[in-house]
Amino acid sequence: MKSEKQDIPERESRDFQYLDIDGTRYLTQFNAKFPPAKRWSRPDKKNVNAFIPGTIQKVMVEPGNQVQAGDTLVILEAMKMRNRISAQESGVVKVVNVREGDQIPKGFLIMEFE
Amino acid sequence: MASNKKIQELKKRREEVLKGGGEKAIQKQTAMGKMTARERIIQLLDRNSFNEYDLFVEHEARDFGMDRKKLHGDGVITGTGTVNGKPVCIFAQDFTVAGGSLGFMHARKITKIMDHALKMRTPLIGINDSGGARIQEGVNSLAGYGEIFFRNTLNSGVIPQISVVLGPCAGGAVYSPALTDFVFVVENISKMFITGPEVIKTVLGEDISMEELGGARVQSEITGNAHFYASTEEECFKQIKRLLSYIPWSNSEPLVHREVHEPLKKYNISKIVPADKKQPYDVRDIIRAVTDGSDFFEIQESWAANIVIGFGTLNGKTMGFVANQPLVLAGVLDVDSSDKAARFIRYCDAFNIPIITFVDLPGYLPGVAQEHAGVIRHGAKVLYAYSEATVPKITVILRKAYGGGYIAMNSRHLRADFVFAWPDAEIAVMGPEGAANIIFRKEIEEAKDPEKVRKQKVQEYIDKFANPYVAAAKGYIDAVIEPRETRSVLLHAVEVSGNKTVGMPRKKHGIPPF
Repeated sequence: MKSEKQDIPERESRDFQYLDIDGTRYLTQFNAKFPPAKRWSRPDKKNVNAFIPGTIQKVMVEPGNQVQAGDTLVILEAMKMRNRISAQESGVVKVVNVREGDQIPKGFLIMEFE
Repeated sequence: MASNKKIQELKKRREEVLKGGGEKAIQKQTAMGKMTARERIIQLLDRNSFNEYDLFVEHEARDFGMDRKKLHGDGVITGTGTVNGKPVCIFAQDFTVAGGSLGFMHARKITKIMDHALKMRTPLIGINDSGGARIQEGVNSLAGYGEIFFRNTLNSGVIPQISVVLGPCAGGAVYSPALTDFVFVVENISKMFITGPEVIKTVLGEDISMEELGGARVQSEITGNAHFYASTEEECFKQIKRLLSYIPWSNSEPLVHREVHEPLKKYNISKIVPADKKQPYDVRDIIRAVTDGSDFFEIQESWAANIVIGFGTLNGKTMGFVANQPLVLAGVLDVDSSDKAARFIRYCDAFNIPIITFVDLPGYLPGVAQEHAGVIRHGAKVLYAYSEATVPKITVILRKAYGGGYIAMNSRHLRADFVFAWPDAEIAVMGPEGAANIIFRKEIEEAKDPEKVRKQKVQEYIDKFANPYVAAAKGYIDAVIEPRETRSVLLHAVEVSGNKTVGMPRKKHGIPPF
């Protein structure tokens, strides 16, 4: 996975844009960190995402398996620690997107529930 | 008297150490576009003023073949000299000697000069160019870092501490610059990070270069770790000398006095701010319109540019300026700009520099990202820093001063000594559009033509509240002034505040929302 190059335009060359605050639209420039690249969205409980980048050491379930809340789904090794990724809720595994040995980035969709 | 022979021996010994890491290593340093540690010190200090100490210090490491290795000066040069004719303490890590790696004696040379700086109440300048801990010395080199960090903290707020990052500064080593007051970086030369690209690649699989991870631009535009950015080392040294021309030598020194010139004519203060509150302008022009000779030395120019901080002089005396910048993000307070302003206010307060605040902001930046990044905790830093500061604090409200932003920007309520407002100023809980939508929600919703009623109600609100006189009637503003009176009013306010004396309740220290 290749990270995007940091491309920071000079302040002088930045365009003017509008920023809404309390119903008023202000003409202004944005700085290098704004607006944030990602919009916030509500986390989906049916999705299991990696909270830390690392390596999948063990996959304990396969599609179709019925799991209980708290059951271990995968072991994700990161920062010399074997992290147990467990089910938030009971349900049936729909898709497993990782195999043992896979190196995954933060936020990677490890598996989905029905 | 020393015999000729002994003097020859001293000369020989000196010559040997002055070779640093040897010709090859020096060539390598030059090829990277870097000066040697000694060249840097000589460039930065006044001519012929450098006096070196601990030239003959040697390391005591025995393991891993270190007993057979001689490291000249143990990889760091320390001493005293003068800048602008006044004494400073300085150290410079020598990358040509074992990569400037920090061993126990190397650290002891640094801590010795740090102790000296504190005792003698002189600024401390540290030039960092080091591959990191000297691994062969094990925990002893960690001890060395710890001793440096402790002294950085002890010296903080007593003497100015300046860090110049002119090479790699990685791992624990970056915490010394982070604990100091001002960090200088140079394009293509400075590299600061906690974990380098190699570790990030192995552990996380992320592929990034040193420059992209922690180069000079990243540190001065994205992270805010650096305060001054320069294209070359020469430019960087000029910036350091300029900074030292504004700041007092210690927290018990009186303010620097500089020559007084009138502001330049090209900064016509009455014509800078557009009457339309939604139009941007560069607030630095306002600062230049009031300072002596229109001189303004900006700090952290490219990071959190929605607030402007820096030094200028009024009647020859150094002032710290804090100003919302409508040019960027409409001048809002957000996580980064709060952090930036708060730290600068505390610097000014520690070194007895009066603070002049120019206000024109629509409030705090709305958004999930800001809330989740802890804008409450970070925004609170501004309130804390202004409230805690006992130096003269003078505020000029140029245009908008809405809501929490009004309170935070050195309002009367946080014990500003003087608050002035221009006739265009609007001091209100929020902007007219937002306020009318809330106060007259029902009337607007129930109207036949909601848009028309909304506009009417906005105008009604503007007529009633969008002026400085409501706040002036309560004494929250001391005077409404014409823009062209600003400099003379400020000069007088500073003069009147010369003997300001206020008490704070006895405490060991407060607990700011770090």
